[in-house]
Amino acid sequence: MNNLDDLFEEFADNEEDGRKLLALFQTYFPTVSFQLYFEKGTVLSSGKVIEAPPEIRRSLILSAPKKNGLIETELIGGKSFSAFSIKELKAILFIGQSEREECNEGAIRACKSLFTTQQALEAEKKSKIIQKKQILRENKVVTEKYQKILVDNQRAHQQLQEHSKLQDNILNVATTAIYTTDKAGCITSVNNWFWWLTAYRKEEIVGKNKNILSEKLYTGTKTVPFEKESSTYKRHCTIRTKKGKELIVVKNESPIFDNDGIETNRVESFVDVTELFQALEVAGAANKAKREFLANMSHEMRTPLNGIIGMTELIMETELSPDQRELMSTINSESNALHSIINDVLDFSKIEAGKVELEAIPFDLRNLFEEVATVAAFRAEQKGLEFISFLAPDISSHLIGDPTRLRQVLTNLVGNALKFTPAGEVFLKAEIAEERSDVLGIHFVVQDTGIGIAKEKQQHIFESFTQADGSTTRQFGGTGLGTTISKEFVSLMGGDIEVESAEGEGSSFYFTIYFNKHKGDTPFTPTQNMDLTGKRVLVVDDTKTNRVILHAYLAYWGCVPITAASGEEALSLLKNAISAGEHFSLILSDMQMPSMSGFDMAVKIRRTETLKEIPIIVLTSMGALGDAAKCKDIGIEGYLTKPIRRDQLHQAIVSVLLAAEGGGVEEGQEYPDLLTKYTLTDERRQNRQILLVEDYPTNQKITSRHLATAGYTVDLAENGQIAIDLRKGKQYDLIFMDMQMPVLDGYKATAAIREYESKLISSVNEKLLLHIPIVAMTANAVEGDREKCLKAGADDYLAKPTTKKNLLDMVEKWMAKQASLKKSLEEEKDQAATQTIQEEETKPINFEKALGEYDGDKEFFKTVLDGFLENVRAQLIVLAQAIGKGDAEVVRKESHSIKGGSAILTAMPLSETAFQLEKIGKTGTVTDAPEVLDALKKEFQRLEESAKEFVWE
Amino acid sequence: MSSPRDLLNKFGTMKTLPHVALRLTKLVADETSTMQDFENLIKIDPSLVLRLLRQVNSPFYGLQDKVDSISRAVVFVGMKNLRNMVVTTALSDIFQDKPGESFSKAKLWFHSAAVGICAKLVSERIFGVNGEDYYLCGILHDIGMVVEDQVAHDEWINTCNTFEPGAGGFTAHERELLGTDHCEIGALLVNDWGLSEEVQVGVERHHRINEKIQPSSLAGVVQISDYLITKMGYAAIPGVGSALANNLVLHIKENFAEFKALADSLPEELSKAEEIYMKAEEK
Repeated sequence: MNNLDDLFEEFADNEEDGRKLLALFQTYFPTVSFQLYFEKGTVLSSGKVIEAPPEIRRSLILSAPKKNGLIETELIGGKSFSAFSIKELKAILFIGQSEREECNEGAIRACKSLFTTQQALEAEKKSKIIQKKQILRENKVVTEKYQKILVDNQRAHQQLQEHSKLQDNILNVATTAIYTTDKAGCITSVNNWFWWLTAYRKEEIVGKNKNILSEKLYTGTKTVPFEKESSTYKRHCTIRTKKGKELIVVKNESPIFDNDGIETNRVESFVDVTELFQALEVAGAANKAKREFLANMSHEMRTPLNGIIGMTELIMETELSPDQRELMSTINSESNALHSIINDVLDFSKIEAGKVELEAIPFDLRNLFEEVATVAAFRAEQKGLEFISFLAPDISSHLIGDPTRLRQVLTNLVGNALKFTPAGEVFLKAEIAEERSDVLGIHFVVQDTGIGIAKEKQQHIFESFTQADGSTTRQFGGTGLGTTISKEFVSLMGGDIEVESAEGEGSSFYFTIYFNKHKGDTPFTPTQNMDLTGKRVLVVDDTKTNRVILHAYLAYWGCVPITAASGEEALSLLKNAISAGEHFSLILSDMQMPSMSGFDMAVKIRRTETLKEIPIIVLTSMGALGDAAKCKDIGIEGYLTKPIRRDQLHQAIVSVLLAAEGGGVEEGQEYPDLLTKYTLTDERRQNRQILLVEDYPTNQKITSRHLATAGYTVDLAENGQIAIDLRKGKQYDLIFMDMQMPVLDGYKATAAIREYESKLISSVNEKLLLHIPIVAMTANAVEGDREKCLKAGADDYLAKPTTKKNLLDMVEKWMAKQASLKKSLEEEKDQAATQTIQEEETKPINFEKALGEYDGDKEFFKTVLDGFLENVRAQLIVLAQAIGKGDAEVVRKESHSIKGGSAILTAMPLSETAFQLEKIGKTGTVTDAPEVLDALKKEFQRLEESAKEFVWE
Repeated sequence: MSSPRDLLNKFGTMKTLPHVALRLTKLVADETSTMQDFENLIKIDPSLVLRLLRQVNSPFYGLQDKVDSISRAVVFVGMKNLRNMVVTTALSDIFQDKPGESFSKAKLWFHSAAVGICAKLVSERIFGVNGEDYYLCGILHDIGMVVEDQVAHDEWINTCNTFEPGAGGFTAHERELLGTDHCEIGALLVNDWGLSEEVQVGVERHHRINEKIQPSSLAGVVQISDYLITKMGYAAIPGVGSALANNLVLHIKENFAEFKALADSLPEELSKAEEIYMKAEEK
């Protein structure tokens, strides 16, 4: 840092110091003349001035600063002049004296030194005084600062106090009892309302443990569950007042944490809801009575309605004039509408009462889905809409859940979609949302191209008794409860129905439900099987969605699907494929397509030499009469009605392809009959025996008529006792059991039948075969009824009143189950038989087993067996010829066919031998074939003989 | 040639007072703010808490008991002082030197801090008034130079290099080459940061030597301090001197002994303050 003295040099007042210097010199040399010449030009004088000649004065003043010391002149007229530089003052001291005077250099230096010392002392003293003054000022400032801070603090403190007072007031005027507790549960403060509710005064309760309130969780009637809040515990409980009265309260408890997050206190509060709860209980009882009345009423109304519906359906199957038919059809649809309204009201009253409990039973989603689709497709067709359903093929459909409610939801959503869609399509879709080891989340979507729902109305459609618009109810009918019920059901199943829609642009309802997978049940296996891998299938449909679905199904089975959107496109695809040397195994074509229909296309294909061999299956959504005949005429192999059920389609494809492979070899052999949906089911109905147990004459008539019309044989039992007797005499395929009957009711009868069956059996397999499926029928719409029936030993449950469709669906369901059950049992047996075939003496045919397959119907069995024998006889000739020509492929095909046919008829030795021949055929050479053919012929003879020997009557 | 606002707009995208500093300056200006408000704000910035406690516990305050709560520390330090601490921290960041720069922001920072400390001493010891605002004004008085260096670097360096003493002084030279000067820019920036109007005026007028400046005003004290610190060898820009308004020269002459006594204790005070203000940043 620079010299601090220099810092202020320009401000320093040197003249003042100069005066002091002159005064000092004058004191010691009173008669000498002193003058100070400052650099800046001013001059100070003291004493009497001795004038010097100007040139001498100037010369001395100019030279002085250069010399460090005194510079002087000679005596001039008795006077001498000298000059001395005083740097501190930036001045020159000019001295004039007579010769007597002795102010020499030494004296001047001494004098100046004295001055400097005096100056420094004085300056330091002065500086100290000023610095002290400055420090005092600074202290004053600091003190003021602190005073200001003190004032601030005081103000803050005051604010705090006011705030705290306000809070106290708030706490005390609050109509909630509020108190705080410490870690040990001791009450540390209470507000006024606490005293008001509990009668404990602040003075008597603060410091006491809160046990004094005897708080207990309230366990009365159902309470509303509380929403979770961050750290507040909310609950209903009871507390005891000082006077011993018990109060029901809603209580909150919130912990208070310190800065480190450690709980220090709790704020607890409660409001008295005793009166509210009492009122709720009264209201609850009234509500319960109302609900029961509603449930009973609905039930009472359903019973006669059941009669009306059934009778109407019966009348409609008789000869009627067009007018009568029209009237009856109106009665029928009106009754059904009324029926569904009553069902809705019943469901709704159950939901309102919180009495809906979901079932968790194994079910097949694919069946359920297809049932919904079948109904919907019918309604869609009537309205001229396209209905498309798609269940993703990768969904494993054996699940555990509540199929009844799920079906209801899907039916409702699809029904609404159909109702509110004037033109276009309705699409029902289910896909996997998430799959875990034992849980499957399925995403359901119902999408339509209907009138849509305006944004602002979307939230209301799930509210009770509300459709999107009040006028909707008038225009489209319905209670408006369906959507509410669906929403509730889905919510009970853990999902949430959401809607996306825009007015005029259709709607999309969707939800996701998680099901547990049902283990141990075998997945669906088609009755006839064939590996479809690599089969090229041409799909022709003008609807993209259908193409996508068919593509998905086919791809799932390993086929190679190629799609075309029109007949023209399909034809050009086919022709291109042929010229490229590619081959199509099958054509799946829609019937109704613009410009070129499925028929027209099929006709063209049949007329084209290179294409005519390709099997064709047509799919139609309008089963117009005469179509089937037309199909057969032009050589269409299969004919199926939409909606296509996946298993049906598979079966149809397998049958058609098997026929195509088998056929064409032997000339003159016809294609099997045209395959239709009906041939797939109708045959099976023959010789199916059903026992109907029912006491009510109207129901007897309706139900037995429906069953008989559908081709089943029906026995009737008027009460449980008769049913048991009948069962003992006959192995029925299915029993419908009314549960409320005189003499012996359905529960007891079912139990008795099961007991009877258990005595008969000797093995697990037998148990399965002897066990006749019993479908319980009750008119009770009471929760738990189903469980009661199943507990009694029934296999299924059908609520009355039932429609023809429900009834027949139920029969179908159990017939199919029984058939597949039997088949798998047979397969097991066959396997076992194959293993031991060499050990035991083998009969050419196991008549008992074979007859079992035909339900003991010897006549029918004989027809089949005779047909088979005749076929094989012809095939043996073909085989001999083929072996002669060395045609291994024909050998393989024929022996394969014999192997399959004989296995079905339980002619195992023949089947075995045919299998050996088939294996030879597969090698491509026939060298070893003649030997095996001989063996085959021998086995065939044995079979023929056995057939003759068998007692057919 | 640019307007000060132009330069500042470019600067604004680069540097601003930290959130805590801005909030704090508002709290200081607000009569109704409480200690609790300060405590809540300071808690946000742990480094600020550390600095605050270190300062309170430094020998400067000479407290017997160690202060370890924020609210007590704020009480001792005072709200304005607290604000100054925050602004000082923010500025020391802005004044950071980048290697290889021809213009030394570190020297400018030392100059600014010294002027701030000197201004506080002059205000409190000679005029007997609270020196916190003087400190703030002092530490901010040359902030405009940082802006110039940042957004018009080449012109700024050129301005520094071509300056010759005499004529209108440095600010006139700046205006000639840059279209504005650091006083104008600094005042705008101070205004943008929400500091008081007095501080803003002090920054704006600290080079006005042709006007009559009230000696005890922020501008007066900062001008005197700037002059003294430059004289002591801590110029803002090496080789660029500083001048005083006439009435201020007169004032110093009249109170020569006061200023001399103050100057005597200046070196010691500078080094003492250095400990608090400068070293705290390094730690």
